[in-house]
Amino acid sequence: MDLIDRYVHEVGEHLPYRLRADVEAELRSLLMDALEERAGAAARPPDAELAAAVLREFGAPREVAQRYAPEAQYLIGPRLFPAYKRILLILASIFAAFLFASGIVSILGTIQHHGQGAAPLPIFGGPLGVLYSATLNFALITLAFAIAERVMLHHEVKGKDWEPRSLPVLHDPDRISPIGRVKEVYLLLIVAIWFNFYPQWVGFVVIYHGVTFHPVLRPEFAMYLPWLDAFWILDFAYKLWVLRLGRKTRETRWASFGLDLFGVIILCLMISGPVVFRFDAVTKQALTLFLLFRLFTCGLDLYRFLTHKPLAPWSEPQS
Amino acid sequence: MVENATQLPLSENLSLELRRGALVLAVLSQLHQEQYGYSLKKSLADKGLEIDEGTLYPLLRRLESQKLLRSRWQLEDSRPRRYYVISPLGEQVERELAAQWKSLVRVLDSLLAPSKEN
Repeated sequence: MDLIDRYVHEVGEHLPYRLRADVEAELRSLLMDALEERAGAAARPPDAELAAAVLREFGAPREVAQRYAPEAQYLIGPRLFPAYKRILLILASIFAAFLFASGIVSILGTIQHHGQGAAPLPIFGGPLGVLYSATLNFALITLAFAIAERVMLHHEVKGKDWEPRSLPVLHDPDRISPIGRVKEVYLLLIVAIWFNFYPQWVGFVVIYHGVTFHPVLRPEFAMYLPWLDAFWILDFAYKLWVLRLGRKTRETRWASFGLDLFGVIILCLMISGPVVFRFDAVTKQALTLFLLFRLFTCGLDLYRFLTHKPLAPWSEPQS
Repeated sequence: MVENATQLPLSENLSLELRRGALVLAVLSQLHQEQYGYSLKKSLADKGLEIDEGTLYPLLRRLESQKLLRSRWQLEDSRPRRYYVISPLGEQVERELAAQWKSLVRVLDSLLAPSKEN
């Protein structure tokens, strides 16, 4: 029956792919049973009218599919939604302020240039640039939360498995904030996209006799991108791992230390290799200072890790 | 009138909620012999329990995914049908649920009975 096939297909469209074929086969069989029964009761062969009556009884395809779906399908679930909403509101306020400032600058510029149009703020590209940037950021935040939702989906401790003694102690050094981790994933995505796709926007703004933007990266910077991309991918995997575990462990600390060392090596290569920055002297000094700081924090982390007290008060001391 | 109109959906919702838990027990109790979805629906209806298709068929799949039922496809009159039967785990759960059901009915009967003091 054409109507039944269309109905079954429509239900399938709203189901996860892995369930689709099986549910469709069963639903078709059940509908045919119901249609046969109805036709028998009406003492006439099955037709479109009877099929429509059967389908009406079954309900709208979307509703039927929802009943078959094993779990709620949402991009961001109730656990993370309040944080997601809070961050979006903060970001919306910031962009609204930028939009307002950008609009004011445009209007003032128009007045100053006697209607010849104002030069937009270079870093935001005027109101349209702010809107574009806001949309991109909202999309990235949503992506970061959606990833966190998937990672945390099947890792929820509930019911009888919950153990009060497993509550994190105050000032527990191994405790992580899931929201903080999601923010880190988001920032990581921003940085990776920024350096990979908009390297010309990496720079600084000078406000002196007008607003000017100075890019920092030379085209030669691209030779380090594969290394940086590898670092960001590893960092991304590390952050998701910790998010999934819900706390830091001995293994995650070693992984973090290894990642820091990898970052330090990349920094050393960039400082000692060919010139990849404009304003070479200033940026190299800044990078060297950053390198020294990272070396210091890596050393401190290693010292703490090797000599430290237990990871948590009830854990065995580390050997 | 307004009061009735607003109370009716609420009463229906509560009634659905009340039935929802009982349906699992009803379905488990009827699947000691293999049945396919439509025959189970009819068998329950014949015994006075009407369940709409949109509730019963997804419930069967859910119980199967929880390992309380087993299923297999069988070709009958050139039509494939999925037959369900209770699993050993399902039988155990059914016994536990039946005991809880009986205890709940006793308690509720006593709660709903008119007080002797009145």
